Amino acid sequence: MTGFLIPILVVTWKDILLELRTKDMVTSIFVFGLLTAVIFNFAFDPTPAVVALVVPGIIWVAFTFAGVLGLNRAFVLEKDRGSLEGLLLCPVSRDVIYLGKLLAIFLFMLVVEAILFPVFAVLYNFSLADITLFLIAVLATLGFAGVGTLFSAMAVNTRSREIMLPVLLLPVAAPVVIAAVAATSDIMGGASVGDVSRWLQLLATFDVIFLIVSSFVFGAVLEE
Amino acid sequence: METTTDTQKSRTSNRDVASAAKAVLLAVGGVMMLADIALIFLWVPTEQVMGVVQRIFYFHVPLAWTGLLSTTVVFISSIVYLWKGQRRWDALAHSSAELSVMFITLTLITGATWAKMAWGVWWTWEPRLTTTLILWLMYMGYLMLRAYAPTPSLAARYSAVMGIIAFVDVPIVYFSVNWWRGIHPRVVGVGATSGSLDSDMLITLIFSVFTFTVLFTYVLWERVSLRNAEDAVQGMHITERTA
Amino acid sequence: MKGPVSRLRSRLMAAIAAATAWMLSTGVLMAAVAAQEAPGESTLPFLYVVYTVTWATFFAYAFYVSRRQRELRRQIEELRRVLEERDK
Repeated sequence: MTGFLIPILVVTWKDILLELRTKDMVTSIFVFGLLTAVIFNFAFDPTPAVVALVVPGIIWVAFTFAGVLGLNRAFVLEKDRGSLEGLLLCPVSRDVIYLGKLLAIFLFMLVVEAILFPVFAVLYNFSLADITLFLIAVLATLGFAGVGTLFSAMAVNTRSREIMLPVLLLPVAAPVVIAAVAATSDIMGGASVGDVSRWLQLLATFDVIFLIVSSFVFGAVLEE
Repeated sequence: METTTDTQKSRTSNRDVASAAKAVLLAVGGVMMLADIALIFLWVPTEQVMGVVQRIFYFHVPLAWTGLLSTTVVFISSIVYLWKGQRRWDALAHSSAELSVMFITLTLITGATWAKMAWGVWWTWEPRLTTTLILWLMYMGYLMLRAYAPTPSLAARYSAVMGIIAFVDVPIVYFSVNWWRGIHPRVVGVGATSGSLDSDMLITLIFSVFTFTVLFTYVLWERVSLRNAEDAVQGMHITERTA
Repeated sequence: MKGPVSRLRSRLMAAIAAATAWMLSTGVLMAAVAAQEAPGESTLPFLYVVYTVTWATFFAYAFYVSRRQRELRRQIEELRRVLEERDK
């Protein structure tokens, strides 16, 4: 087990070190997420009734678009410096590279969400009291990052990489957005964990299925 | 020298058999198409609730079915291509993906026409229409990926990945949209008339489904042959230039 | 070999023939169906749109494939000619 885990963590650590130095992904996700939420405020009249209706959607749309921006940066360094070849030379299987990269991206997104969620709560005046929100965020982010990492690796090699990623990712990740918004909306409306269990199950199912599928096909994506 | 002529002869005779089979398929498809049109317009009784325009049903359902069949072909051939690496499986995936987009587009158009007629609006975010739209976006993404990939082999591999992911995602998308839109009354769903289907209508529907499947198979076959032939000529061009 | 103008003319004639056959058959079908229609606003245009768009798309795609096949055959002929020249 550790033989499998440690290489993954090594890849993740490499990415964390890189990110600590450049702060590339985290800043883009944070800034763009914040901007989106602010712009949304111009889209409607923020009376409490309307806000309650619209806020779950705003949160997850902001994270979605910010996430796309962040994912666009995920493989750029590797591509531009040719370090992907170096990674491929390591005696690890391709799914290890995928999982390591995924874990790093997942952590970065969670970090940003941990900052942005309270900021949104202040801007739009809602409560973060329910721990279920954290669970929703973790499951949704894992699914989004899961397919996002795969598509980012593909998009970075194509001609129109900034367009290619959202074109591929957003339709595929639609269930994640739907489930996250629906569950968040229910929780904010006073529902309990049990009430949103089917949404959580949907997210968990999505995560497991696409983690497995992506692990299998990632090798095909990396080869020259 | 003998073996070369023998291989050439068997290759030509294979090609002849294929051409003949394609011609037969086209003829059968053509006849079925005419028969289907006759059934839909001249034979099947008019539905009571929605009237004559309900006949759109006999186009919409087979188109949706064929679209789904097409995406299944993309899925399977994508897997085999990634596994075996033979170009002809990529040819099959590519051709089927093009046809998928065509059929899903037609499904959306006929579905929207149905919506306009049945509910008065061109579009509603009901589960099946929404899922179909997301499906359309995914396979358009597939074709875009092929167009923007830097080399043909990367195009083949990347789109194979997309072909697999998209297909696996479809049931998940369908469930999530269904739950999101609440309990959807099946009676209002596309395809449901006032309960069960009259036997004449069922016959027409099934025959329609078969007809479109035959036509799909024919066009797919022609498209795959074209792709394979173009690949071969491409190879010859390269040899010719470097010679 | 037909000249370009006569080829264009024969293609135009074929197109007109196809269009006429199409309109006649569609007219017959729609008339047959219209007879069964309930009184009131006609919903026939919707049915017509579905019918036309479906077959038009099909034929357009089939035409697109056959045009590329013709182009391919032209390329093969050209390649064959080049190879023959080289073998001389």
